[in-house]
Amino acid sequence: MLRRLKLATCLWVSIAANLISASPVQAGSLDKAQAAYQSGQYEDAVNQYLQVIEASESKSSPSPSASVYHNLGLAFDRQKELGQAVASYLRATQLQPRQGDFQYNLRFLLGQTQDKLDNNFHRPMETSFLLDQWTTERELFYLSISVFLIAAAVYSYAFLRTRYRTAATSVGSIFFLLSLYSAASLFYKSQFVPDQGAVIAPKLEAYSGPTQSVVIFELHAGAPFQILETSNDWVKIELSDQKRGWVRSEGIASFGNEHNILPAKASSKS
Amino acid sequence: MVRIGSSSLIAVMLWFLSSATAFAGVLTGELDKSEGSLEDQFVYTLVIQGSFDDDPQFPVVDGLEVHAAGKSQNISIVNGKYSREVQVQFVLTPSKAGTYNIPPLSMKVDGKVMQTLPLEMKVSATSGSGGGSASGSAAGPASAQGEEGIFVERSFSKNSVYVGEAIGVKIKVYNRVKVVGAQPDFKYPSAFQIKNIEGQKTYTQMRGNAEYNVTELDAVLIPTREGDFTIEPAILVARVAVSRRQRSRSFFDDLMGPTELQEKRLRSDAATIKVLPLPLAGRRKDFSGLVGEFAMSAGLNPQSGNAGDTLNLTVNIQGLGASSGMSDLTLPFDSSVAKVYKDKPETREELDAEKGITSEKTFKYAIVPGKPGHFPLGKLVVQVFDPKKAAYQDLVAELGSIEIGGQALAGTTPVPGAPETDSQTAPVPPAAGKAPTKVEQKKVAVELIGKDLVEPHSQRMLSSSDQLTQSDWMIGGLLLALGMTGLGASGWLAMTKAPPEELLRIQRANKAFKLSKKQLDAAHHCLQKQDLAAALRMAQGCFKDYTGAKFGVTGAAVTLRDIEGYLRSKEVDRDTLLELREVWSALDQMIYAPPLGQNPSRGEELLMKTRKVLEQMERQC
Repeated sequence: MLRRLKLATCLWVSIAANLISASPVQAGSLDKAQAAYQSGQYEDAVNQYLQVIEASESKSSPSPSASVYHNLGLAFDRQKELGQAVASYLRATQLQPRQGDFQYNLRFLLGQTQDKLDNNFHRPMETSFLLDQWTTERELFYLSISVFLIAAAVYSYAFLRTRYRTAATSVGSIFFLLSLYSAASLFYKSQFVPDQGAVIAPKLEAYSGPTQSVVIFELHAGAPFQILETSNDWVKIELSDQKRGWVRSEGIASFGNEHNILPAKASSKS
Repeated sequence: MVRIGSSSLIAVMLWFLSSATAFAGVLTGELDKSEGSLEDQFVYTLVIQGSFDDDPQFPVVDGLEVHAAGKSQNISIVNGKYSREVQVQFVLTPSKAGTYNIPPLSMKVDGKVMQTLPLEMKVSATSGSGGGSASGSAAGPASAQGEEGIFVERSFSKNSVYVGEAIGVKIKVYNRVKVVGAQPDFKYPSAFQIKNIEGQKTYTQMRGNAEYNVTELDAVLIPTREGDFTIEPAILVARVAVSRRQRSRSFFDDLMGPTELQEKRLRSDAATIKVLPLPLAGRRKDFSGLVGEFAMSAGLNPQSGNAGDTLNLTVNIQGLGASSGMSDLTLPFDSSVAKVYKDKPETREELDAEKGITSEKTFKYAIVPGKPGHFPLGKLVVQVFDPKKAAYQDLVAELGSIEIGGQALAGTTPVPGAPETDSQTAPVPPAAGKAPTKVEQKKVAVELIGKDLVEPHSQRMLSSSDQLTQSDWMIGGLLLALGMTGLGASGWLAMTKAPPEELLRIQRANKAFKLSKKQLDAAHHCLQKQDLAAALRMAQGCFKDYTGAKFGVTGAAVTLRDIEGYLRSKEVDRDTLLELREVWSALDQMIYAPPLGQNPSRGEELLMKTRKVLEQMERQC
């Protein structure tokens, strides 16, 4: 019995690992982008990477990986586009929160901004225990399914064997609750985590409302924020110190699930 | 004869022809009245005799608002002939005075395209067309007002304002007839924020030679963007009681009373409001957003203390205009002087149809100085826009200075000229003479972590995806289905394929107490038949059978020790075991060493005890 269980676990881990590293995405454009970057043609590299992102936005191809945003951020940085580079890395860290390269580069870039704001954005207290801050969507997905399958196996054991039935039911219930917990984290990550972005204009004024009423504060290129809502050409943002204001969308860049505000220069070329 | 026959034939043919004409489709349209005022609603009734497929559509007529009011149908069969009449009603509400031409309505009835006759409808200006001027001067009521007895007037306190400047609106309903109910329909462009003044004023007023009851519904409008805006007429749909005409007086009229209810659609004049933008000239970036006439005062209490003490600063801004949209204040001193903790500002607004809005906003700050010294706090300047002067103005409040004693708090730098502090507790300034700010600290941290960014990732890492794809959902769904199926299958197996002997044992265990009770009843029966020995044996047998069934003991005879052993394993309490032993011994004694002569009452008592012990055992097992 133990041997069979070991065998099944090995098989499942290998299948899951294979699945997570699969899904080829627009290999042609990525090849070109890599080549352009290596040859120092950073503008071409940016446009190729943006093409991949735009294609995924129109659902014609799968979503790009966090590494695509990492490379895009590098290409922007080489072109001295600090705001766009920060926006790219914010997206990369959202997709892959544990990746050290992304965190390092983002810290490095934020250190070069004038406003010296960080990306530790406020999140509601009740969501602070969720797993989405440390895992990717796919990891959460397969984790919840795996834990559910373990719960189902333990329950099945409890059904078929009368010995240790109470203990097995308790263990199965714990695994079932864990699967619900990871599923809740996945749901929150995919539906409720606000998109993040950065200022690309040299200087951007934040207003109290979307009518240029009163200037509340000023931001400079590279300042990170999270997007709360949009109204026509206006975007309501929140900084890491919880300051809120409305800014014009032409002065910002954001790569997100809901608000994909691509940098005007590169997107117009593509 | 031939002549009579031919004329009969002609008559029959004519009859058929006439009957055919009678059942051909008919389409007519009529108005309930051809003349009226803007207060009236006109009802257009379309009568369709015959069959039709599509519902009739009323043509678009400029200045006429059309609502479908309903459809009624009448089907009749006369002499075997089927006929259908449908009446469709449209309510027409004119928006301006004049003559309206309603073009013919055409539709296919009984397979033929038919059309109604064009109709004309004359609409005179509202009988109560007074008021409504945006200039604020209420015009006198027209002569028709006296005849109608009810009309609406609207006036604005200003007709040209700046963005953010409040406008008072008065809507007065004059009436000298009985109003049974009223439904207001006041619409304003979306560029205006509307603040209704709660409660309505009622008073009497002379207009012309008549005295009217006046009901006033007031509001304040705040424009949020510039432009010329046309305010639609204020509409009030009122149900009023009017005297019946003499000619229609009848027995039923006498029963119903001398008045009848009529629905009136009253409207004021339309108005135009010009909203000007706030001028760019003179507007600073720290403009507060206040538009109106304001005054500011500030107070600091106390004005001296030790480092770490809390000083309360209160800033009060009040005046004519809305202050709810005002931005936060920027205090004139920097954070190196003191830490500032801001309280939520309090706003109080009073609405008035004449003045607009009178408001008051109070900001409260807790100031905690971190180091000793004399600190001038400077002047607090708030820029507001005064619409009367059409210029920006500065509200200035002198905050004075604070005198701070004591010792500097940790993490602060001493100020030149500050009183000497204990060098043991005061923070040591860096060699440069100035502590690094937070920004500088971050810069240092960034320099420490490296000189350049981490290089690009390889092609293999680029081609993976961190987000869910369709194949992920498919695989996940498949695995979930697999898990659910496995769970269901194992549950089904557990229910159906359990070993028979195990099932039997469970069934026996469940029925053990029931069987024992039956056995006890049989023992009672024996006792009644004066067979005491048999009854007692059966009672003792109850314990044995119960234990046997409950714990699956079969074969060899069960002794008291065996029973106690099984019960102990089920953690049955000591009292029950003692009682069991007592009853068992008594039964033994009565069976094997019976007293002289039969003693049924003792037997009855033992049977009762047996039942009691069995019940206790069942409860605990």
